[in-house]
Amino acid sequence: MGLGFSNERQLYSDKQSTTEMAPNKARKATPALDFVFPENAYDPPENGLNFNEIYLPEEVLILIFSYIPVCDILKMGLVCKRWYNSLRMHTLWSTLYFKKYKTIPKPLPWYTFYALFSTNYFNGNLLKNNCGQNKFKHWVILKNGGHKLKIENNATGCEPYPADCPDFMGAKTCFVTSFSMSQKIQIIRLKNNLVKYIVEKHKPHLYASEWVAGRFDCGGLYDLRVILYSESMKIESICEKKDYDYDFENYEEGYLDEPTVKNGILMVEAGQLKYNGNEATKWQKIQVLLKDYPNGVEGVLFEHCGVDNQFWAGHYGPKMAGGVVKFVFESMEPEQDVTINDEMDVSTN
Amino acid sequence: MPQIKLQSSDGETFAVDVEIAKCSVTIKTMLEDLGMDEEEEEVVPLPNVNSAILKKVIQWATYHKDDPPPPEDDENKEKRTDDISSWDADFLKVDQGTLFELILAANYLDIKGLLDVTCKTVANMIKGKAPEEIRKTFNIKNDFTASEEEQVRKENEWCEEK
Repeated sequence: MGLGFSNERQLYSDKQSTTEMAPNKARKATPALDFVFPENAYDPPENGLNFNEIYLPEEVLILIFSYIPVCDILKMGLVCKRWYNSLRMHTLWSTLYFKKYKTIPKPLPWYTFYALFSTNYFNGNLLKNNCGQNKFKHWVILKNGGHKLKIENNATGCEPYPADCPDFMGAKTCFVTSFSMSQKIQIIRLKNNLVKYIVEKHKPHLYASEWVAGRFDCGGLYDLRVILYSESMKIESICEKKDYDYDFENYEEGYLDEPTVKNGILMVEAGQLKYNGNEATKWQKIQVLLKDYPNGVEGVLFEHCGVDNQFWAGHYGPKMAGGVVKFVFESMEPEQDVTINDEMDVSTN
Repeated sequence: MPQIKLQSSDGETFAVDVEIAKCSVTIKTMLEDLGMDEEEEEVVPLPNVNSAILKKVIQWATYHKDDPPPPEDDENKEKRTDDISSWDADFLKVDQGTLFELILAANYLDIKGLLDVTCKTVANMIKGKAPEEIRKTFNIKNDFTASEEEQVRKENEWCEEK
């Protein structure tokens, strides 16, 4: 379907030859994920629906599949052509989606649902150690100003975390900044083939957020930047930059300087918080959303920094914790030419 | 308690409490739409279900008659296959033919609870098995050519690779 199936079956397209993502690197061929076998390919015609001579309607086969753990489900497609096709039907995935989310999903291709259920790119949090639970593990510190970044247990000088907020993952710790700019990044490389394909083809929005609070007695400045980067980005050179600094006195909205490494940066979204003493003792969530980004996304840089505005010795700068990075499944739109195998009204179940 | 009579495809009739029979949405709708009077002890023909299977279905429905309506699945609860009650597990210790006949009957009679538990049982039979074992178990033919099978395998690996 759509990808030129003929009798000489070509399950794999050679899309990679037309993308400019990886000129130097041999990439694995992307399968034609929306391919299904034509009806007349079943041999015999009822093969896969006859269970020792008892014929089950396809809707029952799909109901059976809906009880197979998603991590094992693709293997079922190796049994026969009918099973392969049934696993790609929207009925199966909308049933699984409805079971979990209680709403009827958009008619997206099956593999988007498979990625939703089998990876943590849409539901989980791609950011690791987001409250300093494991010191500075997974973070690259670009600038460690003043008395350096510190991890604080039960943040002092501000209100406690909002109750039961899952973003903090049960942690009691946070990162605290000092009297000169501290800045660190976490690099999230898209490792999953399917997720990369979905990001390229369907452009799900990337959501990022972090909670910030300031002390009652000191103002400060916090910046969050989320960068989508491509293969030509040299992460090493981002980590090496030394001249990236903030001038608090002259700080204005949109002050953020251009990243020093322009090559390979596809899109940047920023969020910020500037406050005076006592204005930000309540934790607040800074959020950004990246959409309509160019092709070739290899990964995400989550970057944050902070400094106090009094130049006080110690750690009076912004506190940050509970960062989240994830793709938004609901933001995906079905393609115009997408072929849905069947219709199903899940609400009648 | 009022009863109705259910007649199987092979002509046997079973007297069943109306409340038990109504766990089948198909029968419930029939009684309502056709205005069948519960007093008259009418016979409901079920041409798709034979007496052996109908007997099993009635047995299942009788045991489950006081069950609360099927619970709305919890937000975070994945579909599970290991939550089959021990009574149901014993009840479904039947040969494969009977199991599939029960699925067909549950599907036709629209008995959600029975359909779910029988489908779960089949899912348990196939999960973790190699494709060839599954084909053997149900007498399904491998209709892939060798190269098609290889391509499906490659596609799966590509999708599953982390």
